[in-house]
Amino acid sequence: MSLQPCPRKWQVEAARDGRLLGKDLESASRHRETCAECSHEERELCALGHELSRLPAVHLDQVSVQRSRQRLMAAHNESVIDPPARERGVSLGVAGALAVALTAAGWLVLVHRPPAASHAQASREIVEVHAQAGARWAKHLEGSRIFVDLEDGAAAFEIHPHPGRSVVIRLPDGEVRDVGTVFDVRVAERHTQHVAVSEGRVSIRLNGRSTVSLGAGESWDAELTPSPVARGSQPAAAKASPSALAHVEKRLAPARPSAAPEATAAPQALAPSAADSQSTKAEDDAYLHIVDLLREAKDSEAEAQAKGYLLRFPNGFRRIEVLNIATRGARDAGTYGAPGARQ
Amino acid sequence: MTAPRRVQLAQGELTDAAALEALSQGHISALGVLYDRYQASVFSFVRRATNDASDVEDVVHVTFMTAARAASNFDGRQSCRPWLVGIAARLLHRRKRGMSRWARALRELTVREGERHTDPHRELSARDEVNRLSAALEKLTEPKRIVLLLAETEGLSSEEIAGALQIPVGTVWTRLHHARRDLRRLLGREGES
Repeated sequence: MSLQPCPRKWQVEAARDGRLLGKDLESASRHRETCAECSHEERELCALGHELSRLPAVHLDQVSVQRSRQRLMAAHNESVIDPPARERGVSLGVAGALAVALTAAGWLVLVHRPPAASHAQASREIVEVHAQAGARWAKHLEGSRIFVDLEDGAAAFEIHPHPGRSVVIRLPDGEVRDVGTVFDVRVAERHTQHVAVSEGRVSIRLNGRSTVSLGAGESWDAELTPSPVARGSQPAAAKASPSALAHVEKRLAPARPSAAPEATAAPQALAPSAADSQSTKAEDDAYLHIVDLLREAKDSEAEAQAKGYLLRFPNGFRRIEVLNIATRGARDAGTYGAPGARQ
Repeated sequence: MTAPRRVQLAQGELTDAAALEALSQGHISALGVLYDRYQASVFSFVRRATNDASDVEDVVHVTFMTAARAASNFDGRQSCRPWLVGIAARLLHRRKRGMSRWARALRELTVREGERHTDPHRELSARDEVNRLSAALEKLTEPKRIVLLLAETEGLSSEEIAGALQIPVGTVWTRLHHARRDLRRLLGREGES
Protein backbone atom coordinates (compact mmCIF):
# COMPACT_ATOMS: atom_id res chain seq x y z
CA MET A 1 0.00 0.00 0.00
CA SER A 2 1.59 3.24 -1.08
CA LEU A 3 1.71 6.25 1.19
CA GLN A 4 1.46 8.72 -1.68
CA PRO A 5 -1.93 9.16 -3.31
CA CYS A 6 -2.14 8.18 -6.95
CA PRO A 7 -1.22 11.24 -9.06
CA ARG A 8 -3.79 10.24 -11.70
CA LYS A 9 -6.72 10.07 -9.33
CA TRP A 10 -8.11 13.36 -10.63
CA GLN A 11 -8.59 11.70 -14.02
CA VAL A 12 -11.44 9.59 -12.66
CA GLU A 13 -13.63 12.62 -12.12
CA ALA A 14 -12.31 14.28 -15.25
CA ALA A 15 -13.38 11.29 -17.32
CA ARG A 16 -16.78 11.26 -15.67
CA ASP A 17 -17.36 14.92 -16.50
CA GLY A 18 -16.17 14.65 -20.09
CA ARG A 19 -12.92 16.51 -19.52
CA LEU A 20 -10.84 13.70 -21.01
CA LEU A 21 -11.14 12.68 -24.61
CA GLY A 22 -9.52 10.28 -27.06
CA LYS A 23 -6.17 8.79 -26.04
CA ASP A 24 -6.21 10.51 -22.65
CA LEU A 25 -9.52 8.86 -21.87
CA GLU A 26 -8.32 5.45 -23.02
CA SER A 27 -5.14 5.80 -21.00
CA ALA A 28 -7.07 6.79 -17.89
CA SER A 29 -9.40 3.81 -18.32
CA ARG A 30 -6.49 1.40 -18.63
CA HIS A 31 -4.83 2.87 -15.56
CA ARG A 32 -8.03 2.63 -13.54
CA GLU A 33 -8.22 -1.10 -14.16
CA THR A 34 -4.87 -1.61 -12.47
CA CYS A 35 -5.01 1.09 -9.77
CA ALA A 36 -6.95 0.19 -6.63
CA GLU A 37 -7.15 3.81 -5.49
CA CYS A 38 -8.61 5.05 -8.77
CA SER A 39 -11.05 2.12 -8.91
CA HIS A 40 -12.19 3.01 -5.42
CA GLU A 41 -12.54 6.65 -6.40
CA GLU A 42 -14.69 5.68 -9.35
CA ARG A 43 -16.93 3.53 -7.18
CA GLU A 44 -17.31 6.40 -4.71
CA LEU A 45 -18.25 8.89 -7.41
CA CYS A 46 -20.69 6.44 -8.98
CA ALA A 47 -22.28 5.76 -5.59
CA LEU A 48 -22.66 9.47 -4.91
CA GLY A 49 -24.19 10.06 -8.33
CA HIS A 50 -26.51 7.12 -7.85
CA GLU A 51 -27.71 8.42 -4.50
CA LEU A 52 -28.32 11.87 -5.93
CA SER A 53 -30.17 10.47 -8.91
CA ARG A 54 -32.37 8.49 -6.54
CA LEU A 55 -33.50 11.54 -4.66
CA PRO A 56 -37.25 11.12 -4.48
CA ALA A 57 -39.11 12.68 -7.37
CA VAL A 58 -42.61 13.98 -6.89
CA HIS A 59 -44.86 14.34 -9.87
CA LEU A 60 -48.04 16.32 -10.20
CA ASP A 61 -51.21 14.31 -10.58
CA GLN A 62 -52.76 14.33 -14.02
CA VAL A 63 -55.56 16.71 -13.17
CA SER A 64 -53.10 19.25 -11.75
CA VAL A 65 -50.92 18.89 -14.83
CA GLN A 66 -53.90 19.60 -17.03
CA ARG A 67 -54.91 22.59 -14.92
CA SER A 68 -51.37 23.97 -15.01
CA ARG A 69 -51.28 23.41 -18.74
CA GLN A 70 -54.56 25.22 -19.18
CA ARG A 71 -53.27 28.10 -17.04
CA LEU A 72 -50.07 28.31 -19.06
CA MET A 73 -51.86 28.27 -22.41
CA ALA A 74 -54.34 30.90 -21.25
CA ALA A 75 -51.55 33.13 -19.96
CA HIS A 76 -49.54 32.79 -23.12
CA ASN A 77 -52.60 33.31 -25.26
CA GLU A 78 -53.37 36.46 -23.31
CA SER A 79 -49.79 37.70 -23.64
CA VAL A 80 -50.00 37.30 -27.40
CA ILE A 81 -53.51 38.64 -27.85
CA ASP A 82 -53.34 41.42 -25.31
CA PRO A 83 -49.76 42.67 -24.93
CA PRO A 84 -50.78 45.88 -23.06
CA ALA A 85 -52.06 43.78 -20.15
CA ARG A 86 -48.70 42.08 -19.87
CA GLU A 87 -46.89 45.38 -20.00
CA ARG A 88 -48.66 46.62 -16.89
CA GLY A 89 -46.17 44.71 -14.82
CA VAL A 90 -43.21 46.54 -16.31
CA SER A 91 -41.39 48.65 -13.76
CA LEU A 92 -41.48 52.42 -13.94
CA GLY A 93 -37.80 52.60 -14.86
CA VAL A 94 -38.22 50.21 -17.76
CA ALA A 95 -41.42 51.99 -18.77
CA GLY A 96 -39.53 55.29 -18.81
CA ALA A 97 -36.79 53.81 -20.96
CA LEU A 98 -39.40 52.37 -23.29
CA ALA A 99 -41.11 55.73 -23.53
CA VAL A 100 -37.85 57.39 -24.55
CA ALA A 101 -37.15 54.66 -27.09
CA LEU A 102 -40.68 54.83 -28.50
CA THR A 103 -40.48 58.59 -28.78
CA ALA A 104 -37.24 58.29 -30.71
CA ALA A 105 -38.69 55.55 -32.91
CA GLY A 106 -41.82 57.63 -33.49
CA TRP A 107 -39.73 60.60 -34.49
CA LEU A 108 -37.82 58.44 -36.97
CA VAL A 109 -41.07 57.12 -38.42
CA LEU A 110 -42.44 60.64 -38.77
CA VAL A 111 -39.29 61.75 -40.53
CA HIS A 112 -38.92 58.82 -42.88
CA ARG A 113 -42.44 57.55 -43.52
CA PRO A 114 -45.99 58.98 -43.48
CA PRO A 115 -47.88 57.55 -40.46
CA ALA A 116 -50.98 56.61 -42.43
CA ALA A 117 -48.98 54.56 -44.90
CA SER A 118 -47.16 52.83 -42.05
CA HIS A 119 -50.39 51.82 -40.34
CA ALA A 120 -51.99 50.69 -43.55
CA GLN A 121 -49.01 48.57 -44.46
CA ALA A 122 -48.83 46.96 -41.02
CA SER A 123 -52.49 46.02 -41.03
CA ARG A 124 -52.44 44.91 -44.64
CA GLU A 125 -49.65 42.45 -43.97
CA ILE A 126 -51.30 40.85 -40.99
CA VAL A 127 -55.01 40.77 -41.82
CA GLU A 128 -56.69 40.35 -45.18
CA VAL A 129 -60.41 41.00 -45.49
CA HIS A 130 -62.39 39.51 -48.38
CA ALA A 131 -65.79 41.15 -47.99
CA GLN A 132 -68.90 40.28 -49.98
CA ALA A 133 -70.53 42.97 -52.07
CA GLY A 134 -72.57 45.28 -49.88
CA ALA A 135 -70.75 44.48 -46.68
CA ARG A 136 -69.90 47.47 -44.52
CA TRP A 137 -66.55 47.25 -42.80
CA ALA A 138 -63.49 49.28 -41.86
CA LYS A 139 -59.95 48.42 -40.76
CA HIS A 140 -57.67 50.50 -38.60
CA LEU A 141 -54.68 50.22 -36.30
CA GLU A 142 -54.76 51.28 -32.66
CA GLY A 143 -51.52 50.76 -30.80
CA SER A 144 -50.52 47.12 -31.14
CA ARG A 145 -53.98 46.02 -32.20
CA ILE A 146 -55.58 45.91 -35.60
CA PHE A 147 -59.32 46.42 -35.45
CA VAL A 148 -61.69 45.40 -38.21
CA ASP A 149 -65.22 46.72 -37.67
CA LEU A 150 -67.81 44.65 -39.51
CA GLU A 151 -71.12 46.49 -39.30
CA ASP A 152 -73.16 44.48 -41.78
CA GLY A 153 -72.82 41.73 -44.38
CA ALA A 154 -70.39 38.85 -44.69
CA ALA A 155 -66.62 38.75 -44.95
CA ALA A 156 -63.82 36.21 -44.90
CA PHE A 157 -60.74 37.01 -42.85
CA GLU A 158 -57.26 35.67 -43.35
CA ILE A 159 -54.92 36.55 -40.52
CA HIS A 160 -51.21 35.87 -40.46
CA PRO A 161 -49.57 35.40 -37.06
CA HIS A 162 -47.49 38.30 -35.86
CA PRO A 163 -45.85 38.33 -32.41
CA GLY A 164 -46.32 42.05 -31.84
CA ARG A 165 -49.83 42.49 -33.25
CA SER A 166 -53.24 41.20 -32.33
CA VAL A 167 -56.36 41.31 -34.42
CA VAL A 168 -59.86 41.96 -33.13
CA ILE A 169 -62.92 41.74 -35.37
CA ARG A 170 -65.46 44.08 -33.78
CA LEU A 171 -69.10 43.20 -34.40
CA PRO A 172 -72.22 45.21 -33.56
CA ASP A 173 -72.94 42.84 -30.68
CA GLY A 174 -69.50 41.61 -29.70
CA GLU A 175 -66.11 40.69 -31.06
CA VAL A 176 -64.02 37.86 -32.44
CA ARG A 177 -60.38 37.56 -31.46
CA ASP A 178 -57.84 35.35 -33.10
CA VAL A 179 -54.19 34.53 -33.61
CA GLY A 180 -53.43 33.29 -37.10
CA THR A 181 -56.62 31.96 -38.60
CA VAL A 182 -58.87 31.94 -41.63
CA PHE A 183 -62.55 32.40 -40.88
CA ASP A 184 -65.86 33.83 -42.12
CA VAL A 185 -68.26 36.11 -40.28
CA ARG A 186 -71.81 37.13 -41.24
CA VAL A 187 -73.68 40.01 -39.61
CA ALA A 188 -77.29 40.98 -40.20
CA GLU A 189 -79.52 43.55 -38.49
CA ARG A 190 -76.82 44.46 -36.01
CA HIS A 191 -76.48 40.84 -34.84
CA THR A 192 -73.83 38.24 -35.58
CA GLN A 193 -75.43 35.33 -37.42
CA HIS A 194 -72.62 32.98 -38.33
CA VAL A 195 -68.92 32.36 -37.71
CA ALA A 196 -67.04 29.54 -39.46
CA VAL A 197 -63.36 28.76 -38.89
CA SER A 198 -61.26 27.19 -41.64
CA GLU A 199 -57.86 27.38 -39.99
CA GLY A 200 -56.58 28.12 -36.50
CA ARG A 201 -58.78 29.10 -33.59
CA VAL A 202 -60.94 32.06 -32.67
CA SER A 203 -62.64 33.24 -29.53
CA ILE A 204 -66.12 34.75 -29.95
CA ARG A 205 -67.35 37.15 -27.30
CA LEU A 206 -70.90 38.33 -27.91
CA ASN A 207 -72.95 40.48 -25.58
CA GLY A 208 -75.09 38.43 -23.20
CA ARG A 209 -73.52 35.13 -24.25
CA SER A 210 -70.73 32.96 -22.96
CA THR A 211 -67.41 33.14 -24.76
CA VAL A 212 -67.22 30.48 -27.44
CA SER A 213 -63.96 29.07 -28.73
CA LEU A 214 -63.98 27.63 -32.24
CA GLY A 215 -61.29 25.55 -33.90
CA ALA A 216 -60.70 24.68 -37.54
CA GLY A 217 -63.69 23.01 -39.17
CA GLU A 218 -66.13 24.32 -36.56
CA SER A 219 -68.80 26.93 -36.92
CA TRP A 220 -71.16 28.92 -34.73
CA ASP A 221 -74.70 29.87 -35.72
CA ALA A 222 -76.91 32.23 -33.78
CA GLU A 223 -80.03 30.12 -34.36
CA LEU A 224 -78.35 26.90 -33.17
CA THR A 225 -77.00 28.35 -29.97
CA PRO A 226 -79.26 28.18 -26.92
CA SER A 227 -79.95 31.44 -25.13
CA PRO A 228 -78.03 32.21 -21.93
CA VAL A 229 -81.23 31.81 -19.90
CA ALA A 230 -81.86 28.31 -21.22
CA ARG A 231 -78.29 27.33 -20.41
CA GLY A 232 -78.77 28.18 -16.79
CA SER A 233 -81.28 25.43 -16.09
CA GLN A 234 -80.08 21.86 -15.93
CA PRO A 235 -82.72 20.19 -18.15
CA ALA A 236 -82.33 22.81 -20.84
CA ALA A 237 -78.57 22.46 -20.75
CA ALA A 238 -78.83 18.71 -20.96
CA LYS A 239 -80.91 19.08 -24.12
CA ALA A 240 -78.79 21.81 -25.60
CA SER A 241 -75.40 20.17 -25.35
CA PRO A 242 -76.12 17.06 -27.43
CA SER A 243 -77.58 19.24 -30.16
CA ALA A 244 -74.53 21.45 -30.07
CA LEU A 245 -72.39 18.33 -30.22
CA ALA A 246 -74.39 17.03 -33.14
CA HIS A 247 -73.77 20.32 -34.86
CA VAL A 248 -70.05 19.89 -34.38
CA GLU A 249 -70.20 16.27 -35.50
CA LYS A 250 -72.07 17.23 -38.64
CA ARG A 251 -69.03 19.25 -39.61
CA LEU A 252 -66.68 16.51 -38.49
CA ALA A 253 -68.08 13.84 -40.76
CA PRO A 254 -66.69 14.89 -44.15
CA ALA A 255 -63.35 15.85 -42.68
CA ARG A 256 -62.64 12.55 -40.95
CA PRO A 257 -64.75 9.63 -42.17
CA SER A 258 -62.74 7.07 -40.18
CA ALA A 259 -63.99 8.60 -36.96
CA ALA A 260 -67.61 7.83 -37.76
CA PRO A 261 -67.90 4.34 -36.19
CA GLU A 262 -66.39 5.58 -32.93
CA ALA A 263 -68.61 8.60 -32.94
CA THR A 264 -71.71 6.46 -33.17
CA ALA A 265 -70.42 4.01 -30.59
CA ALA A 266 -69.67 6.66 -28.01
CA PRO A 267 -73.22 7.54 -26.90
CA GLN A 268 -74.03 3.85 -26.51
CA ALA A 269 -70.96 3.12 -24.43
CA LEU A 270 -71.44 6.16 -22.25
CA ALA A 271 -75.17 6.56 -21.94
CA PRO A 272 -76.24 9.54 -19.80
CA SER A 273 -76.60 8.64 -16.15
CA ALA A 274 -78.21 10.91 -13.59
CA ALA A 275 -76.00 9.51 -10.85
CA ASP A 276 -72.89 10.08 -12.91
CA SER A 277 -73.89 13.63 -13.71
CA GLN A 278 -73.94 14.47 -10.04
CA SER A 279 -70.69 12.78 -9.23
CA THR A 280 -67.54 14.85 -9.35
CA LYS A 281 -65.48 11.71 -9.00
CA ALA A 282 -67.16 10.12 -11.98
CA GLU A 283 -66.43 13.27 -13.96
CA ASP A 284 -62.80 13.23 -12.88
CA ASP A 285 -62.52 9.54 -13.73
CA ALA A 286 -64.02 10.06 -17.15
CA TYR A 287 -61.68 12.96 -17.81
CA LEU A 288 -58.62 11.09 -16.60
CA HIS A 289 -59.57 8.16 -18.79
CA ILE A 290 -59.56 10.50 -21.78
CA VAL A 291 -56.17 11.88 -20.75
CA ASP A 292 -54.84 8.32 -20.43
CA LEU A 293 -56.02 7.49 -23.92
CA LEU A 294 -54.34 10.59 -25.30
CA ARG A 295 -51.11 9.68 -23.58
CA GLU A 296 -51.32 6.24 -25.11
CA ALA A 297 -51.76 7.93 -28.52
CA LYS A 298 -55.26 6.46 -28.86
CA ASP A 299 -56.59 9.66 -30.33
CA SER A 300 -59.67 8.21 -31.98
CA GLU A 301 -60.72 6.43 -28.83
CA ALA A 302 -60.05 9.58 -26.80
CA GLU A 303 -62.26 11.59 -29.14
CA ALA A 304 -65.07 9.06 -28.77
CA GLN A 305 -64.74 9.12 -24.99
CA ALA A 306 -64.63 12.91 -25.06
CA LYS A 307 -67.96 12.97 -26.88
CA GLY A 308 -69.31 10.59 -24.27
CA TYR A 309 -68.08 12.90 -21.52
CA LEU A 310 -69.93 15.82 -23.09
CA LEU A 311 -73.13 13.78 -23.12
CA ARG A 312 -72.72 12.66 -19.52
CA PHE A 313 -71.56 15.98 -18.11
CA PRO A 314 -73.06 18.75 -20.24
CA ASN A 315 -72.01 21.30 -17.61
CA GLY A 316 -68.80 19.51 -16.65
CA PHE A 317 -65.90 21.38 -15.15
CA ARG A 318 -63.67 20.44 -18.10
CA ARG A 319 -66.34 20.75 -20.75
CA ILE A 320 -64.44 23.23 -22.93
CA GLU A 321 -61.21 21.29 -22.80
CA VAL A 322 -62.99 18.03 -23.55
CA LEU A 323 -64.85 19.66 -26.43
CA ASN A 324 -61.47 20.60 -27.85
CA ILE A 325 -60.39 16.97 -27.62
CA ALA A 326 -63.66 15.77 -29.14
CA THR A 327 -63.18 17.99 -32.17
CA ARG A 328 -59.41 17.73 -32.42
CA GLY A 329 -59.46 15.24 -35.29
CA ALA A 330 -61.61 17.50 -37.40
CA ARG A 331 -59.44 20.50 -36.64
CA ASP A 332 -56.26 18.62 -37.56
CA ALA A 333 -57.83 17.40 -40.77
CA GLY A 334 -59.16 20.84 -41.60
CA THR A 335 -55.99 22.70 -40.71
CA TYR A 336 -53.24 20.51 -41.95
CA GLY A 337 -53.42 19.25 -45.48
CA ALA A 338 -57.15 18.94 -46.11
CA PRO A 339 -57.92 21.65 -48.65
CA GLY A 340 -61.47 20.38 -49.02
CA ALA A 341 -62.18 21.31 -45.44
CA ARG A 342 -61.74 25.00 -46.15
CA GLN A 343 -65.03 26.81 -46.23
CA MET B 1 -50.25 37.90 -50.17
CA THR B 2 -48.45 35.50 -47.94
CA ALA B 3 -49.97 32.07 -47.40
CA PRO B 4 -50.73 31.32 -43.76
CA ARG B 5 -47.95 29.30 -42.21
CA ARG B 6 -49.01 25.74 -41.60
CA VAL B 7 -47.27 23.78 -38.94
CA GLN B 8 -47.65 20.09 -38.23
CA LEU B 9 -48.23 20.06 -34.51
CA ALA B 10 -48.61 16.31 -34.01
CA GLN B 11 -46.53 15.76 -30.87
CA GLY B 12 -44.74 12.70 -32.17
CA GLU B 13 -43.51 14.37 -35.34
CA LEU B 14 -42.64 17.91 -34.37
CA THR B 15 -39.03 18.40 -33.28
CA ASP B 16 -38.25 20.70 -30.38
CA ALA B 17 -36.58 23.16 -32.72
CA ALA B 18 -39.59 23.18 -35.03
CA ALA B 19 -41.95 23.63 -32.10
CA LEU B 20 -39.94 26.56 -30.79
CA GLU B 21 -39.76 28.10 -34.23
CA ALA B 22 -43.53 27.76 -34.56
CA LEU B 23 -43.91 29.26 -31.11
CA SER B 24 -41.74 32.23 -32.02
CA GLN B 25 -44.02 32.84 -34.99
CA GLY B 26 -47.15 32.95 -32.89
CA HIS B 27 -48.39 29.35 -33.02
CA ILE B 28 -49.61 29.03 -29.46
CA SER B 29 -50.34 25.31 -29.60
CA ALA B 30 -46.60 24.63 -30.00
CA LEU B 31 -46.21 25.65 -26.37
CA GLY B 32 -48.64 22.86 -25.42
CA VAL B 33 -46.52 20.35 -27.31
CA LEU B 34 -43.40 21.40 -25.39
CA TYR B 35 -45.25 21.48 -22.09
CA ASP B 36 -46.54 17.94 -22.59
CA ARG B 37 -43.02 16.83 -23.44
CA TYR B 38 -41.03 18.48 -20.66
CA GLN B 39 -43.37 19.48 -17.87
CA ALA B 40 -42.43 16.45 -15.78
CA SER B 41 -38.68 17.05 -16.18
CA VAL B 42 -38.88 20.73 -15.33
CA PHE B 43 -41.29 20.12 -12.47
CA SER B 44 -39.08 17.40 -11.03
CA PHE B 45 -36.01 19.62 -11.13
CA VAL B 46 -37.74 22.63 -9.59
CA ARG B 47 -39.50 20.47 -7.01
CA ARG B 48 -36.11 19.50 -5.61
CA ALA B 49 -35.12 23.10 -5.14
CA THR B 50 -38.13 24.57 -3.39
CA ASN B 51 -40.73 23.60 -0.84
CA ASP B 52 -43.97 25.38 -1.43
CA ALA B 53 -46.08 23.48 -3.96
CA SER B 54 -47.54 26.69 -5.32
CA ASP B 55 -44.02 28.05 -5.73
CA VAL B 56 -43.03 25.04 -7.78
CA GLU B 57 -45.93 25.43 -10.14
CA ASP B 58 -45.22 29.14 -10.42
CA VAL B 59 -41.59 28.56 -11.34
CA VAL B 60 -42.57 25.91 -13.90
CA HIS B 61 -45.20 28.27 -15.28
CA VAL B 62 -42.73 31.15 -15.60
CA THR B 63 -40.15 28.80 -17.09
CA PHE B 64 -42.43 27.92 -19.98
CA MET B 65 -43.65 31.51 -20.35
CA THR B 66 -40.02 32.65 -20.53
CA ALA B 67 -39.28 29.91 -23.04
CA ALA B 68 -42.19 31.08 -25.16
CA ARG B 69 -40.90 34.64 -25.17
CA ALA B 70 -37.33 33.55 -25.87
CA ALA B 71 -38.26 30.84 -28.38
CA SER B 72 -36.45 32.60 -31.21
CA ASN B 73 -33.20 32.39 -29.22
CA PHE B 74 -33.19 28.59 -29.11
CA ASP B 75 -30.07 27.26 -30.80
CA GLY B 76 -31.85 24.46 -32.64
CA ARG B 77 -30.31 21.49 -30.86
CA GLN B 78 -32.16 18.19 -30.81
CA SER B 79 -33.67 18.52 -27.35
CA CYS B 80 -34.68 21.71 -25.62
CA ARG B 81 -34.78 20.02 -22.21
CA PRO B 82 -31.38 21.37 -21.09
CA TRP B 83 -32.46 24.81 -22.24
CA LEU B 84 -35.72 24.62 -20.29
CA VAL B 85 -34.06 23.28 -17.15
CA GLY B 86 -31.46 26.01 -17.52
CA ILE B 87 -34.20 28.64 -17.59
CA ALA B 88 -35.71 27.10 -14.48
CA ALA B 89 -32.29 27.06 -12.80
CA ARG B 90 -31.72 30.71 -13.62
CA LEU B 91 -35.18 31.60 -12.30
CA LEU B 92 -34.44 29.75 -9.08
CA HIS B 93 -31.11 31.50 -8.78
CA ARG B 94 -32.75 34.89 -9.20
CA ARG B 95 -35.28 34.22 -6.52
CA LYS B 96 -32.54 34.31 -3.90
CA ARG B 97 -34.67 32.49 -1.38
CA GLY B 98 -33.25 31.15 1.86
CA MET B 99 -31.78 27.71 2.21
CA SER B 100 -34.49 26.76 4.64
CA ARG B 101 -36.90 26.42 1.74
CA TRP B 102 -34.63 23.83 0.16
CA ALA B 103 -34.26 21.98 3.42
CA ARG B 104 -38.01 21.82 3.98
CA ALA B 105 -38.52 20.54 0.44
CA LEU B 106 -36.09 17.71 0.91
CA ARG B 107 -37.53 16.80 4.30
CA GLU B 108 -40.99 16.61 2.78
CA LEU B 109 -39.71 14.53 -0.11
CA THR B 110 -37.92 12.27 2.32
CA VAL B 111 -41.16 11.49 4.09
CA ARG B 112 -42.86 10.66 0.83
CA GLU B 113 -40.02 8.38 -0.20
CA GLY B 114 -40.19 6.62 3.13
CA GLU B 115 -43.85 5.83 2.64
CA ARG B 116 -42.99 3.46 -0.19
CA HIS B 117 -41.12 1.02 2.02
CA THR B 118 -42.88 -1.68 3.96
CA ASP B 119 -39.93 -3.00 5.96
CA PRO B 120 -39.60 -0.65 8.98
CA HIS B 121 -35.83 -1.19 9.28
CA ARG B 122 -35.27 -0.56 5.62
CA GLU B 123 -37.59 2.42 5.80
CA LEU B 124 -35.62 3.97 8.65
CA SER B 125 -32.34 3.25 6.96
CA ALA B 126 -33.42 4.72 3.66
CA ARG B 127 -34.89 7.78 5.34
CA ASP B 128 -31.70 8.27 7.31
CA GLU B 129 -29.56 8.10 4.19
CA VAL B 130 -31.74 10.53 2.31
CA ASN B 131 -31.83 12.82 5.33
CA ARG B 132 -28.05 12.87 5.56
CA LEU B 133 -27.74 13.54 1.85
CA SER B 134 -30.39 16.27 2.08
CA ALA B 135 -28.65 17.91 5.01
CA ALA B 136 -25.35 17.85 3.17
CA LEU B 137 -26.86 19.20 -0.02
CA GLU B 138 -28.45 22.13 1.75
CA LYS B 139 -25.04 23.18 2.98
CA LEU B 140 -23.68 23.53 -0.54
CA THR B 141 -23.78 26.95 -2.12
CA GLU B 142 -26.59 27.34 -4.60
CA PRO B 143 -24.40 27.54 -7.74
CA LYS B 144 -22.66 24.30 -6.76
CA ARG B 145 -25.92 22.59 -5.82
CA ILE B 146 -27.67 23.52 -9.05
CA VAL B 147 -24.78 22.34 -11.21
CA LEU B 148 -24.55 19.09 -9.24
CA LEU B 149 -28.29 18.45 -9.51
CA LEU B 150 -28.28 19.21 -13.22
CA ALA B 151 -25.43 16.76 -13.74
CA GLU B 152 -26.40 13.95 -11.41
CA THR B 153 -30.18 14.04 -11.23
CA GLU B 154 -31.04 15.58 -14.60
CA GLY B 155 -28.30 13.73 -16.46
CA LEU B 156 -27.08 16.76 -18.39
CA SER B 157 -23.56 16.80 -19.78
CA SER B 158 -21.13 19.52 -18.70
CA GLU B 159 -21.55 21.21 -22.08
CA GLU B 160 -25.33 21.15 -21.74
CA ILE B 161 -25.13 22.65 -18.26
CA ALA B 162 -22.78 25.34 -19.52
CA GLY B 163 -25.18 26.16 -22.35
CA ALA B 164 -28.21 26.13 -20.10
CA LEU B 165 -26.70 28.34 -17.41
CA GLN B 166 -24.74 30.44 -19.89
CA ILE B 167 -21.45 29.90 -18.12
CA PRO B 168 -18.13 28.52 -19.41
CA VAL B 169 -17.79 24.74 -19.35
CA GLY B 170 -14.64 25.17 -17.25
CA THR B 171 -16.75 26.83 -14.57
CA VAL B 172 -19.12 23.87 -14.67
CA TRP B 173 -16.24 21.43 -14.13
CA THR B 174 -14.88 23.51 -11.27
CA ARG B 175 -18.26 23.77 -9.56
CA LEU B 176 -18.90 20.05 -10.04
CA HIS B 177 -15.55 19.16 -8.53
CA HIS B 178 -16.03 21.43 -5.52
CA ALA B 179 -19.63 20.32 -5.05
CA ARG B 180 -18.65 16.64 -4.96
CA ARG B 181 -15.66 17.36 -2.74
CA ASP B 182 -17.78 19.36 -0.26
CA LEU B 183 -20.58 16.82 -0.33
CA ARG B 184 -18.25 13.90 0.36
CA ARG B 185 -16.59 15.82 3.14
CA LEU B 186 -19.97 16.60 4.69
CA LEU B 187 -21.00 12.97 4.39
CA GLY B 188 -17.76 11.90 6.04
CA ARG B 189 -16.57 9.89 3.09
CA GLU B 190 -13.06 9.44 1.79
CA GLY B 191 -11.69 10.43 -1.55
CA GLU B 192 -11.18 14.14 -1.24
CA SER B 193 -8.74 15.31 -3.82
